[in-house]
Amino acid sequence: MKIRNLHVIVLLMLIIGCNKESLVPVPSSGINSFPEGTLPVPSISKPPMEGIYLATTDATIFGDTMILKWNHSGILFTCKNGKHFIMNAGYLDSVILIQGYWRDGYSDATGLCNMSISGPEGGNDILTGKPSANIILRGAYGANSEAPDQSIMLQYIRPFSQKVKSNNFYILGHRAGGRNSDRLPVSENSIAMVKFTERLGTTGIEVDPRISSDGVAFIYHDPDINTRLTQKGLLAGDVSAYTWLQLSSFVKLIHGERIPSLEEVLTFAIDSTELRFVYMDMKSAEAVPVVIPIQQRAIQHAKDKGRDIIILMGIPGTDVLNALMSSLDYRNVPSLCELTVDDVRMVNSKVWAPRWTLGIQNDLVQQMHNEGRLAVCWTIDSPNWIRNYLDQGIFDGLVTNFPYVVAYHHYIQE
Amino acid sequence: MVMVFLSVLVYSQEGDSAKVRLNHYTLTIGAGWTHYINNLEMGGQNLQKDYAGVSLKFFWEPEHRLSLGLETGYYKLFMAKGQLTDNTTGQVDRSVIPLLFLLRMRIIENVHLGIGTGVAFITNKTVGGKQKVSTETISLSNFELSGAYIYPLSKHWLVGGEVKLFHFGNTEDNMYSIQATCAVRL
Repeated sequence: MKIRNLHVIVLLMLIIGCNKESLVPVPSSGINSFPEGTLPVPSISKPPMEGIYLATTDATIFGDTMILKWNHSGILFTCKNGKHFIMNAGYLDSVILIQGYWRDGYSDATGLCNMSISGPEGGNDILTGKPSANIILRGAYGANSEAPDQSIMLQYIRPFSQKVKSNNFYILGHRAGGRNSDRLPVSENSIAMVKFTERLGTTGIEVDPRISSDGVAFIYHDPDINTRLTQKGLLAGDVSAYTWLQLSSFVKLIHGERIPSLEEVLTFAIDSTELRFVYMDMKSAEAVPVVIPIQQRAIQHAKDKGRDIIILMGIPGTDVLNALMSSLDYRNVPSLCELTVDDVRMVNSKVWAPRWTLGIQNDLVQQMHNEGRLAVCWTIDSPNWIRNYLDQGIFDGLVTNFPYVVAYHHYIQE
Repeated sequence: MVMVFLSVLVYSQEGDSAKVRLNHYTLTIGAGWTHYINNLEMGGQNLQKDYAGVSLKFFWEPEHRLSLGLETGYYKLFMAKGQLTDNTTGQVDRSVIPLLFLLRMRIIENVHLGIGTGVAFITNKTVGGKQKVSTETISLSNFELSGAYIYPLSKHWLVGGEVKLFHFGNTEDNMYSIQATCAVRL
């Protein structure tokens, strides 16, 4: 190849490489297209459906086994290889209908899917709340928005193990449940993401509080307004330089949502989700005195509502640690400390959260357990490392960008 | 962008058969019209996009087709005024001072093409939402494409015109400018 041609190719690659990544579109039909007369699946029917399923047809792209786990909004099927199904369910007569879409967390692949459980194949038992060992889901999946045409059949193998059921393990979604770079249909650090994330298998979230120039705490990851996080608009530069009114009025997140205040996020998590853990990863030390009363109000609100949810101030660095320690009664501020175990003890954090690259550290985690504290690890995404940490570690939770992968490896444990 | 520079460098080492010049330096000033390419997804209505802009360039022109230089300038990108969103009025001004490293190559007699990259200092002034806020952003991934016609009036003085397109990476702003230029060969 002539060197001049090579230069042209390199130039084209550079131009193409500068294009922004698009989101993976949610297939346009499939959700909420149940036949008329379909009723919501009753609560008593959900536990008998949950468990480990064997994929018994040619649906090899999803692997051999799947986990079926109900969440606040519907059903998550999750596979070993990062593929997962976000589904809604209802029943008509004795048939349980399940519809939605599947996605590959590591690529753009997606498609519609519908399945059903007939009465004789488990529907009758499930609808009366009885466990059934003979549940069979039959249906089809497709590619993108095309009608599903590839058959899929799942056979129930077993329920979740006693170890899984008795272990109060936290699957913590990063950036309120998912990152923009994973091309989810809602923006990271938004109310919409807090609502959506349970569908990915999370049981808790990590959020990123900052404060505006007029002292309002909001959640937003980056220090500046940029097109990675927001629609291109009139504002630019340091996000904390703006007032809350300016941020609310002039900035929209990448999928059109408003930047939420921290108080809105906490209230939504308490009132409208089943999330059990909120980890506020403080992005500025100046935000600490603003966040403490918001945290206290949220904890009281959760208590009033009878919600079992932990709301913690994250301590990612010494600046936040010092800011926290400058407040009165800092040892009673529920916190999560990413620093050393000595720092954890000094501020009496409820949770120690080391970076995953520091290793499994079972001896230190056990020390935390012995002191009545929890330990979670951040931010772990590789399927092999996730499995490794779940098999060999004794952490109480993992922060991840791929909660469905953590969910698979957690729920499949025997 | 580095590969583009390397590509240009390869070509530029070819001898300039059209004209043998001495090693020299030039200082160029330019002024003209700028136009902001409106790609705002929010608040793009009521946008003033056309302004005057100025530039200053310093070039080293060795005995090759290639010239190396630095460019700076001042460009107002846009001003939005009035009803900025459904429920908010105000005024937003955005301006930029680029500081770019330039490569320029003479293609044919008096006609030059150039590319540049470097930093840009972007200022955003917002009045609205009950406060006036000014922020400075340093954008690191920026580039410029330009085409120029430069006519020598004398041994030391040159005049011409230039069209250039800018991209400022941090804010993803794009603008083009058409300028008259005057250069002195030092």
